[in-house]
Amino acid sequence: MLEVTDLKKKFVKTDKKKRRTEFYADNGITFKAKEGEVIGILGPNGAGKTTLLRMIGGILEPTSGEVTFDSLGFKKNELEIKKNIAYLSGNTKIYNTLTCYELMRMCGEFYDVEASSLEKRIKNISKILNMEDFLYNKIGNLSTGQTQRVNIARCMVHDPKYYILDEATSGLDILSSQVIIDFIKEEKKKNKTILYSTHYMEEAENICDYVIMINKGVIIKEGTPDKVKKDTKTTNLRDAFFALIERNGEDYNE
Amino acid sequence: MIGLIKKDLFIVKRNLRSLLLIILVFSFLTINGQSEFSFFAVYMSAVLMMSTFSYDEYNKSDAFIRTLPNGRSDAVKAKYISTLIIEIASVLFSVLLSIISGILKNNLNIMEILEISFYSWLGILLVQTIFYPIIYKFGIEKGRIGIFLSVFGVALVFGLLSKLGININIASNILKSLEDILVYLIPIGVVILFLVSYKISKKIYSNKEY
Repeated sequence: MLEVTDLKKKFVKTDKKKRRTEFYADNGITFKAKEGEVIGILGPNGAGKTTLLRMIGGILEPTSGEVTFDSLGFKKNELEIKKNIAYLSGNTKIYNTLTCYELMRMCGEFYDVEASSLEKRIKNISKILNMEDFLYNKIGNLSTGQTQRVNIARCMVHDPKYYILDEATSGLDILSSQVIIDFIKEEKKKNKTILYSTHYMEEAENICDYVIMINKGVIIKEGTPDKVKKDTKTTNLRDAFFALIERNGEDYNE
Repeated sequence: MIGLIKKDLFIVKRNLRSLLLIILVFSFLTINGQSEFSFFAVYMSAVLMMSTFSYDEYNKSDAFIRTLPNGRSDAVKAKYISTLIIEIASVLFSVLLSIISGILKNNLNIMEILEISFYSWLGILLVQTIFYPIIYKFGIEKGRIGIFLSVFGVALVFGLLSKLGININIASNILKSLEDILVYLIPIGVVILFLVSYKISKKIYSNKEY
């Protein structure tokens, strides 16, 4: 189980007059994610989703608060925990001069996957993701959908227990994003825990067991998609989000 | 960490064939013996190492590397170790080519070859020692400009000094009189600076947020 407790991240921004002001990108985020759950982290751009996932994935250090995986604190068990995490960001470029096979091999080596089982895993994953036809092609020569499959493949190569997917479908066409959605559904069946941030509310409604809505660094609502809709008296998560913001007297275009 | 070193070596390997070809051509073009060639061979290996920084930066690898099961300092350690591996390989290659070239030209002097190769390497290592922390702080593009300016800046200064008629032989004579000590002090100094550079880079990298 993943437990996030009172997580905060403070940044400093400089305005046009070079004045420095501190602000919290995330301010006291707390939630739990059980095995086999898909947790949607929802909110507009700049809400604090990426910062939150980066802290959970170990890219950023929290200003305060705690992250534990299977009761192990992140700070003290960072290396052990990272072996069980795969982090995929929509912004991640992958080494496009490598072939898909080379990338998967390299990632396997990053995670100390044994050479004999690594070969088997690469073959197996490439079969699952229909990559056999372009496994030995350079990533730079692949289509967006194929590249996305390679991205997923490199995440799967060490068989992680937790997936952190940050805006993984952002900017993708309907076919390419479906690859990600199918992947999430398949991994859920294997009892993997998936944190999935997106600003596409419809997508979240389709795949998430539980959603956490964030705005300006704080959780404004959480629960199952049905509960969130019921509580806000709306029929979809998009309307629910707007209703919550309006209830707080905010303009969503702000 | 071994995975990260392998990554750098893998990136370098992709450019290795063209590098070897350049070095090979250059080894036959250098007529006045050994010094330019040895320096060039090591300089090219340093350029190759810089390409690994560019490659990482282009692929926004820093965030990705931080998700890997490595300590934060391992990413920096891996880069410094890769640098040593690639440059030692390059020095050995240039020594080998110089010996072949010496035999063919019938002017083989192994001690001279070893000395020039070793000190060329130390010179380049010193430049990297200075610029790696800058690269970690400001990124590869500014670091590259820095290296370009330093290498050509030194050449420019010496050029200007000789144009102005200033006798640079005085400094050279002083250095020559201290040769017996410097022969030990320079390598030790570079090693110490290399370690200090690693510590600074590690600190910069650990404090950096992606």
